Amino acid sequence: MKGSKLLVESLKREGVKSIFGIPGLYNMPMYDSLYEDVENGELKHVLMRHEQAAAHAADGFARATGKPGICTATAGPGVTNLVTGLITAYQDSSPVIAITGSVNRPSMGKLSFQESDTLGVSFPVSKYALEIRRIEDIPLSVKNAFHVASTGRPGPVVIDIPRDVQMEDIDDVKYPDQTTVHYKPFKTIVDNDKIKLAASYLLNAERPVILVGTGTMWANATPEVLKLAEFLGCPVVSTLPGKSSMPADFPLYVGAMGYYGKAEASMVALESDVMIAIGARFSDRTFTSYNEMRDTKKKFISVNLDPTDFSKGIKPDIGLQGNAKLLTVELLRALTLLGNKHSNYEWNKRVNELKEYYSQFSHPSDDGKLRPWKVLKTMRDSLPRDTILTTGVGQHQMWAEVYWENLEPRSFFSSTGMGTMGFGLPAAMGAKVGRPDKVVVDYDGDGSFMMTGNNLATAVDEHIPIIAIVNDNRTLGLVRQVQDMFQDKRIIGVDYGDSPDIVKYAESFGADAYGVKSYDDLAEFIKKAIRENVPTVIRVPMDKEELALPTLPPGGKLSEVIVSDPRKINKSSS
Amino acid sequence: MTQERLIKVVADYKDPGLVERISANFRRFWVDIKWMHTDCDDNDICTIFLSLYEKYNMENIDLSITTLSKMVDVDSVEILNDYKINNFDIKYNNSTKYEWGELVE
Ligand SMILES: Cc1ncc(C[n+]2csc(CCOP(=O)(O)OP(=O)(O)O)c2C)c(N)n1
Ligand SMILES: [Mg+2]
Repeated sequence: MKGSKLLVESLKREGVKSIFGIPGLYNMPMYDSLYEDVENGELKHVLMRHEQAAAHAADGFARATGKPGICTATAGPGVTNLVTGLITAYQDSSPVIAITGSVNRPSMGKLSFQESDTLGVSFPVSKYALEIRRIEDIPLSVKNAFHVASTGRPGPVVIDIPRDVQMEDIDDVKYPDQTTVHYKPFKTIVDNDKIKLAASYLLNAERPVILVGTGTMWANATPEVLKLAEFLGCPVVSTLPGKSSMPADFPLYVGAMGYYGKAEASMVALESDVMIAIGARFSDRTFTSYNEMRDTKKKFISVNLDPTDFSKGIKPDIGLQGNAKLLTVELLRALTLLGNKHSNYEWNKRVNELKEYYSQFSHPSDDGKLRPWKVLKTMRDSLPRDTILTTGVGQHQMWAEVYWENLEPRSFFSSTGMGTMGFGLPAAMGAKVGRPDKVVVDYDGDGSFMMTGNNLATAVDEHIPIIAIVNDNRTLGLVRQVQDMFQDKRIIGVDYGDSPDIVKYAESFGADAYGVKSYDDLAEFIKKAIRENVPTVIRVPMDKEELALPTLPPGGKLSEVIVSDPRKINKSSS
Repeated sequence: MTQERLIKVVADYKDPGLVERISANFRRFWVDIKWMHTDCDDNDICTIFLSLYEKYNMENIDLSITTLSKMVDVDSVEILNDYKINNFDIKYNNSTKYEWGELVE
């Protein structure tokens, strides 16, 4: 058997069904070995238009299915193009596996054509990177790679394989049963004393709150977290990516807190006296000032896979190490044994007051222009409950954070750790390949969309019927708003001219494309896109002066939240 | 005050990328390496001693060490206490050992 065939067989043994990629000299042997499997439909290859998008598509596939997403690239420019996609997956703990071809072994280190130091480039942007040096190592290396990518805190793994290893032949093929890589997925430690103490903190708290993070999604722990909230009768807030684990119609869910999160969610987090974080690492986007959080003197309980997170910004009073699902079950058991739950009547009254107070700022009137909150509401009303939504990065992403009602687990995907513009469209395509049964929407910004929009060609060619709803404000809105609000209105390097016409651009790829003038248009075009089941781009014009609110001053504390347009307040008071 | 640590890393050697990843781990935390000494056995299990110090008072040194213990291919990282060094012969009385981010001894 050829090395390249052995590679493909090893991938199939790991359950691979789809590969996103672009061929070139050094991964061509692998492509050749895909031929029959692609012909007979056993494997699907999706020819992307840029390797960054191949990695984002694999990432979207992984987030939507919970299984590793696969991408491939050739050496040199193929590999370096992957980098942004890999680091995006790394920051958001997404199991992406990249198969890269490299130069023949005798050519290495000699500045041969397209030679790139693939391992050197990959180490800082991945959980693991390995090079297959001998044909007999292929099956074990693949098995090890999948194990590392998909266990513990999931993350991207790069498998680099020289072209001549792919071209070699082997007679005696052995597939391993066991992995050999020196690596331990994080342990789950059921420490009954600590769990009991955590339960008693929660029962005796006057103002308990649950903070839900990405770990809840990867552990599929939503049902357990909802049970915990119901048992405690306490409010739930989330991080931005934690939104993906929380149904917006769960009555105790307040929303995503943090830098651009809902003010009421941040205030509930601040005012609480005991916070239990489940699969959240207290990032600097969620807690913008650690001192501010410490000053509240609340008790922190942290349920987290990675024990080193317990010694970062916030050192929790109780750190429960392990899987969010298993530990939440244990905690529920301990709570049930301890019995009587505290009535949180006063606290919930306060939470409702906060919700009510901040709601007056969150739905500004129409003014004859399309407003983000109503765009997202119209989308919600026009889309099925289990729609998967991806986003780009910018104001539109923050509007999605505040206004998009995610209703099912694993259906809101955004580049939250890395903030990678261009994630939305290819991630939506990957999610759609992984979950063809779902409607998948990329809610994007014009700047972000143009970074990977060329992959619409792939969506059309390969019939991947995603819907891209592009907020076209002709500007890098989020950067512009910082200049506008905090840099004396010195607007520089953000505003676009008239090019391109997004509708014509999309049409040139053969996608259906519509320009929206009203909310009714938007609802109608969404329904049409679902009915037609073809790649569709819907352009929503947005005023460049529109702000993503709530926001904080740069480096600000959550309590410094700005909830209404200061330009309007100044105008009306002068 | 400059923080210093002597650490012992036990890791599975595949290629010199191991050393590269270990030093990159410290570079990212702005922790410096005064010297290092590597020795690998016939099964490619390496014992690596690193003398670390922190020039910039970032208070990162311990986190950089526990973070290293989470690196794939690394079996354990120990902070050595009460040690004597004589020409790369390192003797120590006790250590604080981490595996995959977790304190084990
Ligand atoms: C690849 C990349 N480059 C630059 C940035 C910095 N940045 C963050 S938001 C933003 C503006 C995004 O513009 P757009 O996609 O149009 O979204 P809008 O804010 O207008 O909704 C920029 C440039 C980034 N996050 N990613
Ligand atoms: Mg824009």
